[in-house]
Amino acid sequence: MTVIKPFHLMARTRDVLPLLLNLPAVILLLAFIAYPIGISFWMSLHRYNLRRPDQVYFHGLENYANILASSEFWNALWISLYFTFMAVLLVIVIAMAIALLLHESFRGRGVVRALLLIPWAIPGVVNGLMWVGLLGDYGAFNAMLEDSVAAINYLFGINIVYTGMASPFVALNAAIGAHVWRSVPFACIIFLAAIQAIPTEQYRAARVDGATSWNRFRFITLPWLYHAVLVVAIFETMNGFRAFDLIYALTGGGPGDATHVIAWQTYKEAFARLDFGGANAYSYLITLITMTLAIIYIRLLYRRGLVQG
Amino acid sequence: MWRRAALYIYALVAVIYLTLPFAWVAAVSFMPEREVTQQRWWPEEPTVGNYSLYFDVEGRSADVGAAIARQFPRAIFNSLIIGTAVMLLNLTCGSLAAYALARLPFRGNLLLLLFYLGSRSVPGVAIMIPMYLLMRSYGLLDTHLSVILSHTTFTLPFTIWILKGYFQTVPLDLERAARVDGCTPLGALVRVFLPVTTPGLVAVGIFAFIASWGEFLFALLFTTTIASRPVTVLASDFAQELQVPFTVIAAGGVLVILLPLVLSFIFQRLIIQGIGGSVTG
Amino acid sequence: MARVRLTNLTKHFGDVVAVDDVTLDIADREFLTLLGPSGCGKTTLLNMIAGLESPTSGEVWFDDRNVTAVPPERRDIAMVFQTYALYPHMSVFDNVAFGLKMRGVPAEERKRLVLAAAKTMEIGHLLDRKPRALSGGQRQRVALARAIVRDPGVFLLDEPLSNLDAQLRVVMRTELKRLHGDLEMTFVYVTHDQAESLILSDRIVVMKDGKIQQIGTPESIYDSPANTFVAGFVGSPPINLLKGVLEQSGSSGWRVVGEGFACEVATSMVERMEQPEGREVSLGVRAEDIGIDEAPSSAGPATETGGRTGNKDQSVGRAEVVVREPMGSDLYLTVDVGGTNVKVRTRPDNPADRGDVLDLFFDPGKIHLFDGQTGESLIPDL
Repeated sequence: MTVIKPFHLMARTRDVLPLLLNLPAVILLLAFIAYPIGISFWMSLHRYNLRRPDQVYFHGLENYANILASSEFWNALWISLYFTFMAVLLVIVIAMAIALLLHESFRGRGVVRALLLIPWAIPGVVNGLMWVGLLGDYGAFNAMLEDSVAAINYLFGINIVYTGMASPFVALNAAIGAHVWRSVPFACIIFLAAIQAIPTEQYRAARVDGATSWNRFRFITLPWLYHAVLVVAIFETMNGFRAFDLIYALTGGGPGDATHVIAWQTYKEAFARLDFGGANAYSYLITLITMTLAIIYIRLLYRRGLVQG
Repeated sequence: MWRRAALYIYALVAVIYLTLPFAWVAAVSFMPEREVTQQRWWPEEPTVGNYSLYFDVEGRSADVGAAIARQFPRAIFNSLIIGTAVMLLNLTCGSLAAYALARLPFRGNLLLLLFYLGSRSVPGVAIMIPMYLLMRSYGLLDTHLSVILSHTTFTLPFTIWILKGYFQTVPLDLERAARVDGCTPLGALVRVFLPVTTPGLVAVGIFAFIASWGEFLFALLFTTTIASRPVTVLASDFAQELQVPFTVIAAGGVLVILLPLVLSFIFQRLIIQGIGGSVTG
Repeated sequence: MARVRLTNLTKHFGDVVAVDDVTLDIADREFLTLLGPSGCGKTTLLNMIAGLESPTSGEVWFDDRNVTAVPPERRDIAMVFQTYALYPHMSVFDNVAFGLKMRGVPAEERKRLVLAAAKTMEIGHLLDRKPRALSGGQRQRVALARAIVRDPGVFLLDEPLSNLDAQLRVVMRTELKRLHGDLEMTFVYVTHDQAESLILSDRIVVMKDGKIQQIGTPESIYDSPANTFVAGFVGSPPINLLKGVLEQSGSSGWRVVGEGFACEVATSMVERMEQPEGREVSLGVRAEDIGIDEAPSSAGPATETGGRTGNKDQSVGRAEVVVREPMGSDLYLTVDVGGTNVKVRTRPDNPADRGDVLDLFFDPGKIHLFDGQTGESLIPDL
């Protein structure tokens, strides 16, 4: 054992136990996340189509070049960006609204709190199936939408043809709505905890200073929630970009390519076209995008001095 | 007075938003097929016929969708096995790592924390192909283990993060008191630290279980037969079969949701406090 | 029963030296207080006695046993924590019994001891409750019961009263003194409250920046502080410190002259100094050792506390009253001596008020001289 380790890598004895305690987790994550990520990158540099298993060879960044030149990628990217942006925005607004409600004291608050977790407990696929029903031809929501479109047409003397989930616009936004519905509880839990951590004296002091309820929200609640909002934004951005099971069950990417989010596109490359090289390049691009966004958010957290090492 | 009224209307809107979609599906699951086409909100003549398809396999074998429905009990069993294993793995690996991060100062702890955070930000689709090949090369395709391992890896970083936050809320003096009272370090952990942190452990355990129960992508990729197929994948099979009436699908959906729903009701207080407090803390 | 000896005890946290070369001999059954501001290293020192922190260097001895490497569970100690650290998942009974259980005391015996400790601390009616259902004072009593039940040789207390409100603190302070009288244990008590330390201790160790500043009985710490830090930290209100210069007065006498005052000092204080002439000093005098004339214009007898009668030639200076603070049994006046605020304690019926100009008299037997630069006492220990 004459391996010379660099000095700073040598663990002191008191560092051994904590590292040992982290070992099982680290091994699992290295084996099933870090290693696959590495393989994924390696494969993305190859021509590797399962239909032509004899023709696997290295061809550098060509997969990336092909993807960046394809309209499918840009279409998927824009759809994902739109999807994620809308989802993050709506989740924050709705979850905040419910968290503020749950912070008030009223009879039946316990009931609302218990019901809060329903959407979260529903698996993504089942959620998709549910909304298929709700928005399908016989769905309750579909009926409501039909009626409201009819009412709008009547009121404004216009003629919008409502085609339900066959319309790209409806399908994409319905997917966002279903995704948001399921994501609200988690965000709400985080907001609720953050709101409850605000010292009540702050509100009393603001009252004494003559702040209206809007101003109290604007100048006390919101600044105190900055950290929580960023945390939710991180989580929801990641979730938005990886939305897959819902799309799988609800729209299957359609109609046309209207709901081809980037995760769906990747899945298609891999398992419909069996182009593993291209699919891995796709995956890598998704990882890069989410990582970049995550780093931006985390930097924002650090800048405010809200994360301590 | 007006404020009160507004608050209750507000609460009502929130309740409707949170429950209506599921309530409708639950209602549909008790409707005869023809009532769905009438776009009803409530079953006129409630029936359990949609559910009996899942349990009365012999009697209804000729019905559309029966082939899938008959696999349901087995799929639920698969999901239970996978979810429980994922929960236990999360609790053991997660609490060890979190304890070290929360309690023992050591070099590289920040690096580890970033590694965990980074792992969490890797989307499932990004590693599905290498994971698939990995599982194939180890002959783990269509086994519980393949799904268990993949579910554990994507829930573990979150578990560690939450538990670390939760552990840090436990005063260090408690363990010190236990030491002075005669406990070894391990004794203090088992007799004082673990009992005190049970609510947090239960919260993340349930969280991991429900996350595993609901996961779809890896379950879809790794499982090919009912030997290992969990309920989420089975439920999605309905989406491919066009002739299955929606009432039957709704009943299946309710069956899939039932367990996580019950768990989240029972443990809602723990989950809301445990998760919420640690994420922002 | 145990004598505790610390030899050259040092603790580093990274680059920070929390405890710096502390050597200390604590007698059996002594009540010793570690006193100092937060961050002075007193809690770290206590934790090293407990075995909860291991020293960077130095040794801890209990009687003739070197316990430096002995873990806390195998030292004969009990500890009361600032936050009480009651086990939230156990009843009061189980909390108190836990230490006995861990040491393998049989259940019958355990029950007897717990009930006895509960009786001593008057918590017999609380034994079935959980800690969260107790008030602050009750938690404190449970924490004490948990510590005394095992009859340890050394009893360590880390700021046990600091989370109580003022009234309860006074009650528990008396309780602690009674406990120490009843129990045959060595008490090591950490606090930042100088009043507590004066009332409770046999001896006080004053600490600052990890170093011992002074060790002594409450009286000696109060009456002959080793430096300006000790002088200022012990005593309420803090001692008055005035900057000045030593100079000869008359043929044999000496005095300190500073902005707005000139004070005669006893020759005995100066005679052992090298080159006293022109030396910069801080003159310390406590509020109760300053006399004032009753009122600037009154003709009554100008006497005050401190024993010395004042007359106009012994006055150290005239000063204007800035603040008047009646405290019931006493009256505190803040006067301005050449730009320095000086607190004076006087009788509550003294009519002096803001704006009045008074003559000040310092009790010559009670003044302290400190080096102007180092702050070390210039008065040799007697």
